[in-house]
Amino acid sequence: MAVLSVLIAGCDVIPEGERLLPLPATAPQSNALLIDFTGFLCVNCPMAAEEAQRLQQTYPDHLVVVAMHPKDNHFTQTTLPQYDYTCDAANVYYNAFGGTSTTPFPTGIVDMQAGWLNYSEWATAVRTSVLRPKNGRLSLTISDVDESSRRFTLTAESMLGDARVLLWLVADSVHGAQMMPDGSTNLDYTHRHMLRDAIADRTTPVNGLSYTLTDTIGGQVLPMTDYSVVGVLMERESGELIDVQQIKIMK
Amino acid sequence: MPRTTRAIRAMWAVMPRTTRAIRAMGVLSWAVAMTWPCMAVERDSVPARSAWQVTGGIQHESLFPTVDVSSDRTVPRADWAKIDHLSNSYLDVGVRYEHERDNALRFTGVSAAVRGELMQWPLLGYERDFRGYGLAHMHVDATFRWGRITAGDVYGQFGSGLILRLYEERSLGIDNAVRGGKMVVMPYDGIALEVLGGKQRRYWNCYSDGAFGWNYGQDALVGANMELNVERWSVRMQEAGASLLIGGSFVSKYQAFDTIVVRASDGDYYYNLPERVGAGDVRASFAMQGWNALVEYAYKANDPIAENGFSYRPGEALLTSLSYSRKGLSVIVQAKRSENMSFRSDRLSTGNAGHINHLPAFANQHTYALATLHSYATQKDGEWAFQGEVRYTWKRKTKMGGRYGTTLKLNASHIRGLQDGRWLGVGETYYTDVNIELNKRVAKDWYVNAMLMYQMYNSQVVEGHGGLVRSGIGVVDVKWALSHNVQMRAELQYLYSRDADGQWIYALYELSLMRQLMLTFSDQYCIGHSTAPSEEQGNHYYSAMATWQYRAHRLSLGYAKTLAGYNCSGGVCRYVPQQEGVMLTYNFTF
Repeated sequence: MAVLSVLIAGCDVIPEGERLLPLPATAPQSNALLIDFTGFLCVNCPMAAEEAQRLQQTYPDHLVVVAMHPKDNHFTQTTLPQYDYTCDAANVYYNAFGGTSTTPFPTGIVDMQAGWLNYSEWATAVRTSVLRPKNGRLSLTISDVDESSRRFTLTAESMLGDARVLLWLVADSVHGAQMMPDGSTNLDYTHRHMLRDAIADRTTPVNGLSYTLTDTIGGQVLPMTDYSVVGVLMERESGELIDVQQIKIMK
Repeated sequence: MPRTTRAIRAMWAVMPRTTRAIRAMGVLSWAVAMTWPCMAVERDSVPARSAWQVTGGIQHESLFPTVDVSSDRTVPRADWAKIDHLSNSYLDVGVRYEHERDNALRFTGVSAAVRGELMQWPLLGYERDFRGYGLAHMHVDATFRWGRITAGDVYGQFGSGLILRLYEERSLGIDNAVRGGKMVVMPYDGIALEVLGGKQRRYWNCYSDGAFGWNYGQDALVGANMELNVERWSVRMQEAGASLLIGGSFVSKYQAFDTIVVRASDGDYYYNLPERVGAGDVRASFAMQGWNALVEYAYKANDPIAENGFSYRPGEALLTSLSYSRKGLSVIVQAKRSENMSFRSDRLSTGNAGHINHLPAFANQHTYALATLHSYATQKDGEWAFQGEVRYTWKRKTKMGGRYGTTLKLNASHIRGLQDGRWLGVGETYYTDVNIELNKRVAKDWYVNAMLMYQMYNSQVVEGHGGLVRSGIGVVDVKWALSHNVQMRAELQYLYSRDADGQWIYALYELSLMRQLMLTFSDQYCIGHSTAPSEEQGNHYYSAMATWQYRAHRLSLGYAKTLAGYNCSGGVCRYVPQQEGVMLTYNFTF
């Protein structure tokens, strides 16, 4: 009888008017990283980019978004160099996460954890991440910026010793072509947070790392003011994300 | 009457009376002398006869790829250069103790089993989390005359599996055992009760929540099943050869709350998710004089999961089956309607792991290569499915049966989607399969199996791309037993279609020697379309395999290039990418 009672009670039925509840405002506890895998030929990717932007507005200063255009996906295949937004670094990460030539786009990764997320799932994953306290903070500093030689010096420090830090070069806004949801091609689309290079993959601290910006996008040379450095701090053993920061090279 | 008694009576009959008396006293004295120590000792301490048995098996499958298979893999490409060998390995070991002496608990035996798995670099086509290694299964099982108790990883099925089916299917990478316990009790003749509960395995989650995964705080499930064999209580039914089974089951799953955010135009919301979801099932089956009828209905309460888009609609399934069989003839017709019946232990998972239930496939499970090019997978959203089969055997030495007899089988299945708002309404066609198969022994050493098949497959629904694929398939399969130790088999298959990749042809030759060695050669060639280009046109998919079987050992080695496709079993499918290389499999049971 006890078992029967438990079984009968083992069912929650949610009334129709109570299935969607307003999301309470909460204070973020940490930073999150959203990697948006995207491509010029992906018609739904602009919608994913809008969702990423909305999430950044929801969690200002707590969400870093990086868009990666990997060579090894059919959504980025083009013979026109002016539409080629791919970079080798994006390809390395894409393959590391198990991406293939037919992985459907748009798709995302949160906090460097494997598991493709449709953009409708990004809100949940990002919220879960920013509400979870993480033990550590990354401090990024840019110095000795020389516009003429396009060189700068980078320092990355953390209170945690012996953590892994990834340093990425990101182009903040690139004007170029993109296929849109209605099937048309927008030739003046603004691509945001585009990964251009993996500067370093090291153990903290990283002191006085000098980098020369040689990146071109579709034949364009962008000013240094259009670039940022993203630092991703991770546990060496588990790969768990500890912190992520973004800093403009030149304000 | 036991032999001993008959022997004693026979001897007794021929003895003179006096001798009988003396001999009887002597025998009696001997008997008392022999049994007295037993009678004088406490019953439970009398040594009982018992038997120990160790069983187990090894299964190993390897691929040594000779071409780049990086289009699909479960390991990061950065490590790919180090890998020249992919494999799945299983080691099962079990021990059983049979206890024959009766005792107060009516205990009859105990068994224990463990299984180790090694898939550090698994074969292609498995899901990412399939990769891993460790002790994947363990259980201890005690049996009694009134039932059994199992602790550890348990399997089981309630009815047809509409609300619970826990099983292992290695070809699909499925093992959805529950880690906890199970008890089966038969308190009275004709009554069987079963309860089980625990945490479901989802690949290697058994290590993720603490030692061996005994953390029920995140998710758990419980279930109960009762079956009544009514004929056990009715002499009339037993005399008539009838049986009636009535069953009922309930399963409840628990999963801790997740905040799933929903973006709406007026702000952000979250789903109010039920932490406990229940499902129930009732069924009845009646059998008598070759007839067999089954009706089963299952209902699942609101279960918003990622797979159904977080829908709160309840799910239900109705399954009916009617069959008749007698010597030489069998007929079966079945119908099934299912809607929103995907039942998972993790509301966020969408792959092959974590299914609590199983919706049976209503499409014929073919074995011929071209007939399985487009295998149907049961649609979780819902479907109407119908299947019928007639099998008739003409006796030997009849006009149709010939010298050795002839069997003809006609099978048809038709599966359609549901229609919104109308329970009985049907939507678009998902799958149709009509096939006729003839099996005949044409001569003393010659066997022929021939099949003609028409298939309609909705690729858009099943695979997410493409359209309707209509195919006509013909198969001739001939087997020739040259001698007791030498047998040959040849297959020729042809597929005609104006859709997908067009025409295909398949040939196979198999030679068995000494009942221990088998050589197999096959080739599948895409002829393509006569008017439109085909991606596969001109491609050969071939294999050459040698299989050696000796007692409990089976070793298979060969080279093959296989076409990308779906490996299906019971309506569940796994996509397997194209692969080429040396293939090795080894099986050993003890």
